[in-house]
Amino acid sequence: MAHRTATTARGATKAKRGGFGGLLTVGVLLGTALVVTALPLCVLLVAGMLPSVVAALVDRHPRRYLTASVAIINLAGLVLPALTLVKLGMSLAGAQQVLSDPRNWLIMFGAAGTGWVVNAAMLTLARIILGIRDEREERHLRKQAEQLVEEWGSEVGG
Amino acid sequence: MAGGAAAIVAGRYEIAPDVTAPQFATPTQQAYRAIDTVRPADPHFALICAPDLPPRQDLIEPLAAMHVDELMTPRGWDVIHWPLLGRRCTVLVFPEPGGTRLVDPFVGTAAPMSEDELLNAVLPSAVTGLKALAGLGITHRAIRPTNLYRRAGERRIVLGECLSMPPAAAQSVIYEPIESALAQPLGRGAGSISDDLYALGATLVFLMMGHDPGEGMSDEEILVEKINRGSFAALLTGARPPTRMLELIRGLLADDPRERWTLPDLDSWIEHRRLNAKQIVPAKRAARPLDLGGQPHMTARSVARAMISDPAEAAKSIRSGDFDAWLQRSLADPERSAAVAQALAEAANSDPSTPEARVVARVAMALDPRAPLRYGGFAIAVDGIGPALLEAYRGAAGAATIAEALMARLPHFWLGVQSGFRPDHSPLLKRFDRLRQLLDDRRPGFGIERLLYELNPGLHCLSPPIEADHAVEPSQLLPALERACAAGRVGDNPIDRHVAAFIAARCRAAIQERHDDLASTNPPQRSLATLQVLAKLQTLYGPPAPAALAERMRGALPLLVERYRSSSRRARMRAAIANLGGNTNLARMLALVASPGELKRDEDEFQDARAQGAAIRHSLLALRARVATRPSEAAELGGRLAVAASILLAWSAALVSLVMAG
Repeated sequence: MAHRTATTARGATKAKRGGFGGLLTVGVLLGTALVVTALPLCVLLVAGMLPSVVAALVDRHPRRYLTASVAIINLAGLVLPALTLVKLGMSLAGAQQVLSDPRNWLIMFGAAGTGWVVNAAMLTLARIILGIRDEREERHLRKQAEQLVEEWGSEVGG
Repeated sequence: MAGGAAAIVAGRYEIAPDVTAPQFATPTQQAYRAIDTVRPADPHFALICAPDLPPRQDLIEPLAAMHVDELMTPRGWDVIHWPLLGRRCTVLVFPEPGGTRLVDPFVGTAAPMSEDELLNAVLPSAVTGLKALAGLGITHRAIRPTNLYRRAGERRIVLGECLSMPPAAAQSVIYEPIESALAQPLGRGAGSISDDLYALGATLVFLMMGHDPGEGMSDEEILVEKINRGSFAALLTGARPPTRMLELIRGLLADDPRERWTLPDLDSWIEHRRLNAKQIVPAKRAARPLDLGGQPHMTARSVARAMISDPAEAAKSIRSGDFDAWLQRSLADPERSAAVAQALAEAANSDPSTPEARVVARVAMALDPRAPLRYGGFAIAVDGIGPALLEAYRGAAGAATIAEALMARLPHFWLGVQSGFRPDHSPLLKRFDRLRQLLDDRRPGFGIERLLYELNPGLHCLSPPIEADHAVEPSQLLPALERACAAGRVGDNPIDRHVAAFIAARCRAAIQERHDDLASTNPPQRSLATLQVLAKLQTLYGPPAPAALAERMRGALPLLVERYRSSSRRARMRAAIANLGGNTNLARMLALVASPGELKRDEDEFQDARAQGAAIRHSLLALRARVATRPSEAAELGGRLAVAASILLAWSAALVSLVMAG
């Protein structure tokens, strides 16, 4: 029985590894395909997504909300430079031209910064919301306790 | 009606304090003319019962329903205010027989009656009256020459009233059998029809002689004569009765009730003028006398009497062995010896500190079983304890002695030494057991007061504030309390020990399960019990508007409201009390402050509130503990919000970029 259970657990771990490995394989294949088919876009992506890489490095939250926030907006900031690259013929020269324009850097990194700011703002907002919630709850409980004491005397406590 | 404020009895009979009817007066009660407002032509008289002597209340209704020409039965009764006594008292109304008394009590003598009149007028009438009573299981116990009346224009006579005082209380020892004569007048008890037949025999002797058979003798002398010579010889000293009457009188005056004639015997004798004489067994006499108190005694009855008169001397004789030697060798009566041995064994088995008087009382009962229960100066028939207890209670002392006798099971012993099984003994034993329990209980509604009311059905409530109001029935109690409250005679608690005992005896349903609360030292609990009892009485009997009593009880309501824990409930009740105004319905008052289940609901809700309070405390503690985890919670929430906002912004930015790119 124990042997059977151990075998099942090993099978599950293998399946998990297999899934991740498969995803990695798909990613590597896609990346390779992108490098082969659209190298200029890859160059732009690598350069433009650097803030997201930094965010991923500094993000300590297990669910990586900072990374997600920065990466999502960072990716949106790459849309305009990528369209410019497409217009310039999707070449390495075009990529060089796009990357040499400081406005594009401003757009890409500014978008990533916005993500960072949004994350920081939302954290502050969450703290305020939770503070208000707790305060209201405490006030409500204290009022209930007062009503109880008023109705039944101090014996009921509160 | 002559001058003086007339009182109305039973809503029908008018009596005036200044119109007396002395020919119907009894030794303790004055009689007054009563006018029947419905049939004014029928003459009636009223007896004002002495407040300290309760009438035979339980017999009034059955006798009122009886219409026998040879028996004076009541036509109405009531409790009225009687100005001459300055208080309320019981009044009994009887129809006048039309003729005079056979013997005027103030004269004390009468012309000797002829044999014909005695045998053909007095005797048949008395037998008819006694038969009617026997049919209801009632004894008359007041047959004497001064309580017999002639009927107008008839030979028949009427047995006078027998209700206005305890049984045989007014009887001279002449008209009582030895056992009953040994008892004090108020302790003679209802006895049996045999006692009435004895009284009839003694009455016939008086009427035949025209004077008292014991004329010139004291009661004690008459009694000693009866004991020593027998009633027949003692009462007929110097008389020469006609031969035909000798047999009759001998049969009626037999000292042993087993030998005395019965009603069927008497009936048979009237019809055939002869009856086989019963064998009269004389009291067993000892071979040699026992010396007690300097007197020689030859019979067990005589020794018992001497022992009771000097218990210390008797105890000495019992201890020394003289008594035992006399009992075994001289009296040689195995039945008495066995009874005495039982008495001494019971005394030895009981508390070693048992007073000598109690041992002597038991020995005396064993020696003379038919004699009354004699202890501590009292001599009482077992069915006469009630009036005797009342007499002792009203006197300076003595009630405690009677209570002591009950607790010491002396009546049980008395019943135990009676020869032969009598079916009426079994309920009596149960009754005495119950009386002991009642006496042993110290709560209001029990104790000596309860015994007074249990044993005297006609006794009014003796509570000092309402004693003069003479509440005999439970329906009269609340009006009496109302008058006492209005006059400011009632203290803090309207239900004192007497009122509680009276209610418990007369209307147990009103006070059942309230005894503990009435005894409580907790004022709200006591007040609530008082209100509950009074409300129940009002519901059962009225009156609808006892204003002063209601006002008194209203004063106790705030105290009852404080029993509740809920402040809103208290406030609601206070408002309801304020809105009561002049409402005098005690049950409504009770419902305001103690509706069924309300206190339990209050307690349940209080427990719920306590649980709720504990939950709140717990929640507050949890809330405080949450402050420590708030940053991680904020990080989680903030992260999610940030992702959501980022997605929104990203889409917007992407759209703007697409538009700009053209």
